[in-house]
Amino acid sequence: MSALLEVSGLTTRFDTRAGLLKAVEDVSFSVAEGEIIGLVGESGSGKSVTGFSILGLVDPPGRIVSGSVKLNGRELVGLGHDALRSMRGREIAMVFQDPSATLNPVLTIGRQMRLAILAHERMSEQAASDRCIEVLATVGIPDAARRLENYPHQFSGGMRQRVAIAIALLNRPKLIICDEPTTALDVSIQAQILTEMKSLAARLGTAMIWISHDLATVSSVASRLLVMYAGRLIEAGPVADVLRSPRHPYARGLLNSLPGLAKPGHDLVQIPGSMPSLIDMPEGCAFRPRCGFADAACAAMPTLSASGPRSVRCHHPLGQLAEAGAPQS
Amino acid sequence: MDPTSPFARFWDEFRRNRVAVAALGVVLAIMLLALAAPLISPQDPYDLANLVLMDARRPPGHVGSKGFTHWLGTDAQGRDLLSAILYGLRISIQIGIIAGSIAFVLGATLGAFAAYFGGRIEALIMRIIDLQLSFPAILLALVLAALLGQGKWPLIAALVTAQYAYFARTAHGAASTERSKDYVDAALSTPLAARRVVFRHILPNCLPPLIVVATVQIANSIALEATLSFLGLGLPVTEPSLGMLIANGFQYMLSGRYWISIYPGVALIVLIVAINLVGDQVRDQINPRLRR
Amino acid sequence: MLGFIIQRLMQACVVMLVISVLVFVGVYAVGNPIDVLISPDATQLIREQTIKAYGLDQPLWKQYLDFLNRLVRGDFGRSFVFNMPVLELIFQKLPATLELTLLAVLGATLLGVPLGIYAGYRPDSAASKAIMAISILGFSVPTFWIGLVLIFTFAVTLGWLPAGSRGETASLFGIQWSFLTANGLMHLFLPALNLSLFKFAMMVRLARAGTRETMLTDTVKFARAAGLSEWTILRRHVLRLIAIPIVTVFGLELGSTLAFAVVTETIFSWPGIGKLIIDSISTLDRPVMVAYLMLVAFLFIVINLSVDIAYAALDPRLRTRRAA
Repeated sequence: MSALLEVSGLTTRFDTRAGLLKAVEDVSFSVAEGEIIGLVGESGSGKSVTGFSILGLVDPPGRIVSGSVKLNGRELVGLGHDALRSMRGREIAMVFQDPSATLNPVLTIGRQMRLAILAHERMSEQAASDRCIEVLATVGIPDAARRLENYPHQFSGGMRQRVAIAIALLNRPKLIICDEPTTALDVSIQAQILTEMKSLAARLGTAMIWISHDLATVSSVASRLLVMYAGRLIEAGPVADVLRSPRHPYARGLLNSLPGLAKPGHDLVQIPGSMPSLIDMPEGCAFRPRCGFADAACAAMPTLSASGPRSVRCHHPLGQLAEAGAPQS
Repeated sequence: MDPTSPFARFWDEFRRNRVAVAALGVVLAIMLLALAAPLISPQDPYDLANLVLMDARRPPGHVGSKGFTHWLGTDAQGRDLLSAILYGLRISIQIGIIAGSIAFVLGATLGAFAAYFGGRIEALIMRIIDLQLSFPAILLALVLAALLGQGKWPLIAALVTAQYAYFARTAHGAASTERSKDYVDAALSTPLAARRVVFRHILPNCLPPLIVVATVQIANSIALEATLSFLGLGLPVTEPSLGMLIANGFQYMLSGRYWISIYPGVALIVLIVAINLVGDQVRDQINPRLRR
Repeated sequence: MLGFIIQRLMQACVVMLVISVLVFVGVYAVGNPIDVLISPDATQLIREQTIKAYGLDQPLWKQYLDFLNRLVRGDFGRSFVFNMPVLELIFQKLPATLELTLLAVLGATLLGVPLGIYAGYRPDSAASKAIMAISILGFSVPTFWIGLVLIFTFAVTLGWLPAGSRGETASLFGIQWSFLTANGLMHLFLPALNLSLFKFAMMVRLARAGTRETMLTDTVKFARAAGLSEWTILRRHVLRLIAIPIVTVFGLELGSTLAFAVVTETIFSWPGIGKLIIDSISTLDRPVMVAYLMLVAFLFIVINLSVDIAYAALDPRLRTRRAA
């Protein structure tokens, strides 16, 4: 299966007053058709900016400094304004975190959905409304025809997000980037939306990049996991493998600190320290100050070395990777 | 100065806008000039004994009968225009600041008061404020000035009445928002007196929007006073403010003696525009929604 | 929606009533009603007749009812200066002010909002900075000064346009309007320009601020991610969102513009109600002052009501809350 999306060496930086902020550094991965990959990391790890960079939605003072993003072989970085616009929503769509912020409160959802359709295809308003009703039904909104004329505030939080997802699906994109889509929802609704999206993706053959800080949700949806830290990709591999035996000390620390794994009666495990500022990054491995396994070798930035489907960016990876594998990037 | 204090950070960002800094410089320079008016003007324009009718309506540069040069000419009564402008600026700034300050204190207290007490008192006060806000300031000031007659204090009263409502509404809005925030409940649950909570916690957080309103209102005060004086409703003829000078010179403009109106006008404009430029920069910096 | 409108209408009536009480108290109880109603140089006979006619020797509450009665019938007394019923006088002068104000307001909005949106969309462009500079001038410089400069430049120095007074009028619906004649338009141009500058500046700044804020929201980002063109985003999302504060301020400023017409009419000797009130203040023509106050109050209440209704029409979130 050829890759649907091929990201290589993506580097996005922000020219702020306080200094040069290196949000995304040298990130490479690929997404196959119909595949769901999870992009995890804490706040500030660069996962959201990666998503925006793929769509060319990085606002100034940020810009893509180098790297390439290829959709079906077509280069997206540096693409002209019109070409980018026609690609957005049609070939790659995006769902944001808070639907009450992404949906315009003074327009009916029908109007907003029709705008998304008419941005790419010419058709009568009736035909557009028909398609809206069809997609709304797909995402599980009952009485869709009537609800088209409702305003966002007339929907519950979970329903609003379904509407946002529906908008993303309107033009049958091949890839949907989901930036924390369930974080703002109630826990009970979260599980619902998760399963629905997974089955939707399988049914329609849509690929997904699921961005989140929550390992639990990502692992129930994705088949492959990518872990980011301080703007770089530090570990990648099939979900089950990474969760069972993480190679990077940060990933291991992340898993250990999950409350679900906590042993009763013991303190919750934490990774000491906090993520470095993306403006003032230290030399060498970014995780070094917090890593229990660091030594002199870690003063140099490790490369991403692969072994089969797994890769890790570490001088002292945990587990068997220490013997095998050739540097990948 | 502590480099991380809020004021230091504010000043740092302010400094980057060269236009605003220049405007601030202009405002300070004008205030200094106005303060020193009695010392530096060649003539006291309020002393009627000083005026010589023969010197009236002379063009800029004319050497008067008292022996000194009228750099900006003279007006219809023989007043040296430069002196009149300096004194006029003095009065304008004085009135602008006094009226603005009283309106600030009165309005902010009323608004915070209303927010603190809540219930029917709050509803009543805010309804009155809303009603008054829908009346344009100039109309209010006009009517009051007409009713109260001429003079400095009636004018200030009129200006305060026209403006306190803006402060009241802003203070009420800010205080209400703060009142409902969790930190207030937390503070109130401690043994601290309620009044202390209001003064040390709520009020400082209400200051930014109030400062924004204040910057707009000071310039407005000055413009409003000038307008009222122009219409003949402000200060008495013996204490001419810039507005009155402009009014007096209006008729002469059509016959070519432009300086009597134009120079006071320029002085007024420079002052107001400078204050507004500074205010703009302050506003942009304080607005949290423009932070990226 | 209907319930909302009715509720607002009733509130408006209450406010009118309150204002009528205030004016009554201010004029009849505090001030000397005799001075308000009777010209100082009226004879003793006329004085007594007027006192009888207006019931000035009656108890206060009865006087108030008479006052209300007269108000509803439109009897505001007679002007001392013009010696004609005040209401008639005001209606005579009203068209002049109306055409001036409406022209100024329309011009300011139709020009100011698009320019402001552009300035907010491209805040760092040279054009945007120029627009903002002009708006600062229009905003800070007092109206009377701009009027002066306009007269000096266009009338005195260049001689292109007349320096004041209204031009020739033509009739429409039985009322004399000057915008229907070429000569009238020439006379209308400078005062309308003068009056519109403040509002223009305000519209520009408002549109710019609103656009700038809206462009940074997730709503716009989501719309971009869905592939909407920038033009569509501006037209369908941004415009709709900034319409709310703009309409609110438009309504408030409409009243303010009407009030500022006072200054413009004075400078340009424009025979409208603005000039009327200034003249009345200086000649102490009190019946006119009273009538002007009541009329202006009424106008403001109508404007406020319209703004409230428009607000609810534009922001659907308000409709359900109010009706509940």
